[in-house]
Amino acid sequence: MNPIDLESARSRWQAQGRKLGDHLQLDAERLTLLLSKRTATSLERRRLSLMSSMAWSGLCLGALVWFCIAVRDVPYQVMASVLGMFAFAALLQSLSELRALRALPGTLSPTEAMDLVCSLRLREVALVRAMLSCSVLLWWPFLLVIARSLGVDLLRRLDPSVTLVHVGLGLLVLLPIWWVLRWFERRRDEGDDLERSSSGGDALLEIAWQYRTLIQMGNSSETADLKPVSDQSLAFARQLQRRLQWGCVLCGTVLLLNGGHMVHRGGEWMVLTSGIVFQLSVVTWMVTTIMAAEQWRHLRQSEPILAVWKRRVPQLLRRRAEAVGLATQLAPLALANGLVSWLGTNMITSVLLLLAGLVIAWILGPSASDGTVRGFMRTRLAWLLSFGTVQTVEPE
Amino acid sequence: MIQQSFLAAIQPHRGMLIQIASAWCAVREDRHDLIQDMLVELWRAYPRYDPAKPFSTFMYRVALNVAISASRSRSRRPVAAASFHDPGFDLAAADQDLASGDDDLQALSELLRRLEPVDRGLLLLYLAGHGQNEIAETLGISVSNVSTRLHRLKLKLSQGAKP
Repeated sequence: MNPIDLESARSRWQAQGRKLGDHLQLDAERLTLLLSKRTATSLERRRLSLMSSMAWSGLCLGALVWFCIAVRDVPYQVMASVLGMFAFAALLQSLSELRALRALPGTLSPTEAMDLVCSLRLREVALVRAMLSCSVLLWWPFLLVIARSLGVDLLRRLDPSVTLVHVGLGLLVLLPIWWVLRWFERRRDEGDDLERSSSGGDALLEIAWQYRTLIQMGNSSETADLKPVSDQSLAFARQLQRRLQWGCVLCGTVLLLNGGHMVHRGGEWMVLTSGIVFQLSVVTWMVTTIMAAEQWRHLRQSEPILAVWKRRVPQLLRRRAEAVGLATQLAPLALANGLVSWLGTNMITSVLLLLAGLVIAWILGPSASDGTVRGFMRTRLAWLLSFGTVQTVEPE
Repeated sequence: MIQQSFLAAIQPHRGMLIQIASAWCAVREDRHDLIQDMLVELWRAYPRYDPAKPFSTFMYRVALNVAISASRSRSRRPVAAASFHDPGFDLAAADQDLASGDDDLQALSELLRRLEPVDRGLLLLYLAGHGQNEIAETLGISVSNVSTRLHRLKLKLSQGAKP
């Protein structure tokens, strides 16, 4: 390629732009037609999505009705009915949205039609929020119904306290989950107006904003002097991502072990309560780890983005560590119970073993970055929970 | 009324849409789709445009967001559903104009396609005559970052090196 003088090319580039503009004929009629076509495409996609959602909800509802007819056992029929209500609500929601789309007034402008589609999506979001709020309450009946359909009567095999504790906890966390989801939604609503408007309610376009936000976060003096991506840097990031993925696998293993332990010692309320709280905390941590690992897939283009990711991961994990630390007040109890059960030791030995483990982790862990007690605790907790990943990504 | 105002604002900058689309898509049909996407999103975002700021900056911001997003989601997008041929978009003639431009401009077009998205947006804005502050605001990076990137791009171009 021959050398190019950018300064002199600028004016020619602008002249070319003005000339190229003649090839785009834009008038009110064309613009309306374009918007109408695009709206029709968007509506068609939404219809297809709704139809598949209806098919899935219908399938679930059919299976639950079949279960109620086949299993003539009142407690199971009640549980299946509760689950069926949600499937029915999802089916009704899809159906009503589909009807609303079919009855869309032809007099609406394309923009009004697109806005209507966005508002219909919000109704769907409300239903999803309700389902998520009830998820802790529903997972136990779901498990029991699945097990019963496979021929295992868990309801009678386990002590009634197991079901009572699960239902109690489900009811207890109903409002907090709803509140957290509302909080997330409000934070989302407070986003940049222009960005939100230019998404047009299309989730695909939001990827571009996430990308831009990450670029903004790299807007600091240390990333101003940019270097091309080095092989060493990429190798490091890949290694880090593998560690995060292994973290997910370990979290999954812990979930299974703790779940098995809860079923095994199901009759003891202490095991169940602490076990469920511990289970929720591990799930929270696992979701964070998956998010951090997933971000990597979108950020591998350049060194500044990589640098931002490396800085973001410990921040994300530390924040989550604080939340997990607050949420798992009962986790040591669950761990001590687990050790009693698995190792056959008594409670005092288990607690001592735990303390020894914590001391070793404390000594081996990284030092606090800000010198405060809070920072000290956060750094160590994040290091422990991330299987050492946070230390790996600490900015040098 | 808004439609007329939008059309009046966009008319002087139409060519920019073709230039951005050319920098992002090698295939003409993809360029056609991308220009339509950009127009639709510009129209939707227009009610929130602040008239105190230059329209071209607003236009670049939305158009670049759409271009980056489209390049990422193209593989997942049902192309058949998105395709709608508008005879008012004569991209064949636009291609001829691009091909008949001087060597420097053709080389710049090729270079733009090979750059990473941020540098691509930055160079497009610079070539369109935007200042470093405007570029920084549009791309959401610092002015010093823009300056560093621009300096490197100029250096590469003056040496005739491939990016």
